[in-house]
Amino acid sequence: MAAIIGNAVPPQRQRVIDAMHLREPDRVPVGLWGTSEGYQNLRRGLGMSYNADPLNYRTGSTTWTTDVAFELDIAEKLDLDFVRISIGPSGGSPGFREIRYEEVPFDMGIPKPDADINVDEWGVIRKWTPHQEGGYYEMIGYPLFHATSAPLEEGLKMLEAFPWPDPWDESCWQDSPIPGMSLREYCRYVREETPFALMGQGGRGGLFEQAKYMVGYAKIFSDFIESPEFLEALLVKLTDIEIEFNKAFLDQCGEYLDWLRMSPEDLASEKTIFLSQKMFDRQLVPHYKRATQTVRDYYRQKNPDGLIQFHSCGAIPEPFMRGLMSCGVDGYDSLPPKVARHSNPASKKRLLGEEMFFYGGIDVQETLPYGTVEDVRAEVRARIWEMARGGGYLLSSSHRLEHDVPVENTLAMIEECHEYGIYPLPEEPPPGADTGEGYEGWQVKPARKKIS
Amino acid sequence: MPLDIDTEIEFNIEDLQYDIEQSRATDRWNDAPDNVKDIFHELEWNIIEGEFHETTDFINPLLESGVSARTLISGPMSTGIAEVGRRFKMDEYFLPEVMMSAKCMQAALVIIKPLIIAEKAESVGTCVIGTIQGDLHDIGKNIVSMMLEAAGFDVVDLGVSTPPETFIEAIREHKPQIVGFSALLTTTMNMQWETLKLITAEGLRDDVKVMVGGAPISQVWADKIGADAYCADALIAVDKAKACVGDFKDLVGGAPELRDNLLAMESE
Repeated sequence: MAAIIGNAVPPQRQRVIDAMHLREPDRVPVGLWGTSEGYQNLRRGLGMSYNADPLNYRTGSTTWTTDVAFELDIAEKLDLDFVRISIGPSGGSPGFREIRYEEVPFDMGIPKPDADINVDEWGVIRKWTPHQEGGYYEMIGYPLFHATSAPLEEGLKMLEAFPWPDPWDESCWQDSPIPGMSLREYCRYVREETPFALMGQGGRGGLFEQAKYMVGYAKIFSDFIESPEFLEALLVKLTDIEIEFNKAFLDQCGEYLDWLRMSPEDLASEKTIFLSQKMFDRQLVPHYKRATQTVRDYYRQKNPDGLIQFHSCGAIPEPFMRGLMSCGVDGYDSLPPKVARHSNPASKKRLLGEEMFFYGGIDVQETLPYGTVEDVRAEVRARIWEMARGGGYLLSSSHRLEHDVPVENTLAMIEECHEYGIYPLPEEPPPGADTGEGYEGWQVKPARKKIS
Repeated sequence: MPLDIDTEIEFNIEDLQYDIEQSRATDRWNDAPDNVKDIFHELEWNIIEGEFHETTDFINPLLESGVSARTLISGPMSTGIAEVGRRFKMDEYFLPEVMMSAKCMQAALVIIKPLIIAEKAESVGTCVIGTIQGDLHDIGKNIVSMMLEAAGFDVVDLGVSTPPETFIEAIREHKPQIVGFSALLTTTMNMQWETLKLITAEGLRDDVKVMVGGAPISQVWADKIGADAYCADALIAVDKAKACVGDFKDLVGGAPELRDNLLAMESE
């Protein structure tokens, strides 16, 4: 049990802790995450005060993301069980852009930064691409593209000379969702003054994920075959930075966090993983292992029961999940439910449920934005039945809530979890639940050509 | 827990030799002279294995011995990349392998493209293709564009975030039989419809067949907006494009009833 400061553990946090340690709590814990536009939409719909400019909510993990840390009043109003906090550069973003732009060493033929162009702390260049109610920064420039295309020695020199972000930059810790509170004060406040469990994310790039951003999506995949030495050096560098980011973050608030999320990695499409087992084991797993184990050891000095959660979108087959678990990963988000069956939430629970906890699972691609309230409720029931037996499940959306999710659907998700998610769970599967019948599994066939 | 993975399986040159021999044992390209047939098989395997530095070593001798560029594309290059597609579908190949094979195709196309342009008379048709406005994603669109070119189409690629007006101008200028829209995001896919509406409003709808594709796109969406063809992947895009130019006047897009129902739902 984590060291609790003050009185007994409040039921919300106890629920989350039980679920994460694979014990059945009193009911399935529920929480939210979303884009700033989605969050603005939710606050507006609930009749709460909201910020007219959604970007003012931005306290996410980099200068470009539209991730947002939900304020505590909404968690109270909706009776949530946990909240999230990320390390934020929000203290310094606008000026930061200009400075970084000048530091980017290679001419990429990119226009000067203006309202539409954003250069983040890694030198990755993005263009603002609006949609009906906000927008995204879409990548247009990759700072190490030239380095990976150059001869190896030259590329490694460029890698070394690159102005990497400073993980110990104090401006990252000065801000929090409560104005005037530093990150540390905020986390202490959540732990001591509120009943909510707190998840933290200290890294802000990741390994493979940030490598993609540094050299470009098309190049990174051929690099696994074409320039493995460069890729290795890049991943070593990014692992170092990820570890430092997390250490700096944990120094601020490690003792107040109930669990830690590593920087998100996207390793799979909805069909299957991006890489073969051989490449994954040789070229990625050693880096994940070093990052996760170092960070976990450091975290456990602050919180002996602290757990590590790993994110990937898409469908990661079981053998790869086991590879990640061998790195020291305890939990996994975000469980998109409409991916290939070998990796849908029910299969994940069936294959790995006795060894790790899961987070997410309510579909943001169709059900939440386009479904009716009854569709949402039915999916929540199915997901809880599939996932929550024996604990091990934190219910949330399968990715960020966006502006197109109607408020009543979000509320239905939470309410249904409050109602249906009470232990002991019913034995009878609700309609739509995947009971595992007819599951065929995932296996690689040998790469042998079929002769016609 | 122990990680039970056999990392000793290495690339085996004997396997490759075996595969090539098996491939040669088929009756494919039997009508070609022996030396040409041999290089065809090697080129095919060069693409499957993704050894793009060596691709031109096969292309040039073939061209010198009088093989036409179009035969190259529709022969060993097509069978090679189709096998790559099959492996990708079966989880035998993953993105890195596919990227390497795509590089082989690109290396070959650099040499072959000018020759195809010279053989203009044989062009299958013209296709204007682009990622719609507000969307900057083009990997899939580029693959479709390349595959269409390889299949003998003249492709006018309008790039990313293409405004509807640019599509109109391109249709007027290039007189294509086919227009293709790509979109990756649910938030931008609506521009496919808007662009299509503008094409209709400009009176160009009867002159072109409209193909749509992209991650959030489905047959239902294609029916709803009244596109002629939904292309689930690049190979299907080529097939449907061929169908579009081959049977141009008879092809009716989508199911009219479904489309009417969807439109009625939308207006409610």
